Amino acid sequence: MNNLAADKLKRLLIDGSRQLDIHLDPAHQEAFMGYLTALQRWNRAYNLTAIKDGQEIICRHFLDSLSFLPFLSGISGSVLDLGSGAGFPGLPLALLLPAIHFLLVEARQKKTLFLQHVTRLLGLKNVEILRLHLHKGNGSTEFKIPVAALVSRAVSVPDDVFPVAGEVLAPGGLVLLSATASSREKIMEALSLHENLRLEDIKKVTIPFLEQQRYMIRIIRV
Amino acid sequence: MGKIISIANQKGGVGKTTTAVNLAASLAIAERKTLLVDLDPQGNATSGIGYESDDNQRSIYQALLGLATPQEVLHQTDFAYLDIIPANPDLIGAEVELLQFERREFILADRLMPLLGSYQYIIIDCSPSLGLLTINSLTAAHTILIPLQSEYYAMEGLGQLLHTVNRIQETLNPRLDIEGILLTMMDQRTTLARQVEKEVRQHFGSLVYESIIPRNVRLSESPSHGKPIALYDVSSTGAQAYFQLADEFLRRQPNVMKAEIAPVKGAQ
Repeated sequence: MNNLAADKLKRLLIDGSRQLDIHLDPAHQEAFMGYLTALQRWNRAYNLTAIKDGQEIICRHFLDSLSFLPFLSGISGSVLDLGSGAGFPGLPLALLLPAIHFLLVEARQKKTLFLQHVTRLLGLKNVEILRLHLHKGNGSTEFKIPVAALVSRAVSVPDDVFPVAGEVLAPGGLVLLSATASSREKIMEALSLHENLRLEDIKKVTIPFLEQQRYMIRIIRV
Repeated sequence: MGKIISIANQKGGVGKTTTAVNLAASLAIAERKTLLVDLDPQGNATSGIGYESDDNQRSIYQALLGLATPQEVLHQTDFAYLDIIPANPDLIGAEVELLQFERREFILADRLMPLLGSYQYIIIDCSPSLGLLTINSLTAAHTILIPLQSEYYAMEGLGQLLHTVNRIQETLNPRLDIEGILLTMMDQRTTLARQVEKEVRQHFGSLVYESIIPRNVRLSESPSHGKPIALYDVSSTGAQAYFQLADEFLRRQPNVMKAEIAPVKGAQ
């Protein structure tokens, strides 16, 4: 990436986050650019994400992850990112919410190693990475429960998100899922099978520079 | 079918084992099904990957001598995509004991044959000699990867190694090819190291990897913790260098279809 391209990408990141009403200070901006470089470098051999282009990474990963931020205001304790992949939405959120402990759970080793690398690179002290295929029955043995919230993105909402949520959240705990129009339907269908989870609301979210409408689904553990 | 890569150089201390362990680990992280074969009686690749030898008679020695099947000497590692065939000091005896076998240069090739369908890459860590074990490794291999320490005498002995490679191509293994030459233990601050690099590149051109393994404290510490550098310190320059090497290595390969690789049975 040459300097000109890097400047343009940084501009995109700053403009996009401003549209989300999020202020990124220069340290945040540098951290995101470092994250971007590392992701692109690792992607060459390790194929961490299908999205490889810098501009796309900023919009579809960074800004998409940041769209969770307003929904986490008032949360204290720890937040579980289930199926974190290359760190989305967990790492961008951890960068901007240093007082919250983020627990990133990911089953694939190439991804947990990358998460460790970026966590170190960004100097994040509030991130814990677990290589684990999380399913009903093992959450309570692998980390401290209850967690305050569980987050996951539409593209990667795992099948067993609701059984896990039922186990790792205390009553009143929050499940926050970002969805597309089609994944929203699937999520609602799956949710109807779980009596201990209640739909709070669904809000339309616009990700800067992306045409596709997103929905933030808020679910409460009862 | 898997590709067998022999990591060899009869000089000691040039980074053979470090390269075998960390290239194998990096390929495994890239989710290429990989087997590391320790063919050095010192067993440093075995301990470096974190396998604790327990004298349970399931090492490369037993496989070579026909006392166990290749499947019986396979062991799993901390990496989902990496298995190992360990070595222990028993192997010292093999050099002599193999002499009684017919086709004694082909024993390792024969033993690895049934495993070829289960792995994309088989990396063999050789001992620092050109003895019968190393000859077996080069006879079994598709390619040889040569680590070269970036110091004044780097190319000393290389002539002899390349001569051996030629002889093996002519007699035992016509398919043997050079995978690449890797500069290791590079101290890029010194002009001498840069001179050595220039000379090696002039001499061997595109055979030399762009990736260079630096001298790195974390890299030299990691074996004593029984961990490849990726698990010991994923952010160290040593780890980054081996990731880069794996990337370059994979870029040089013709595509291997994942579907060709069957799950291995018997690893435990």
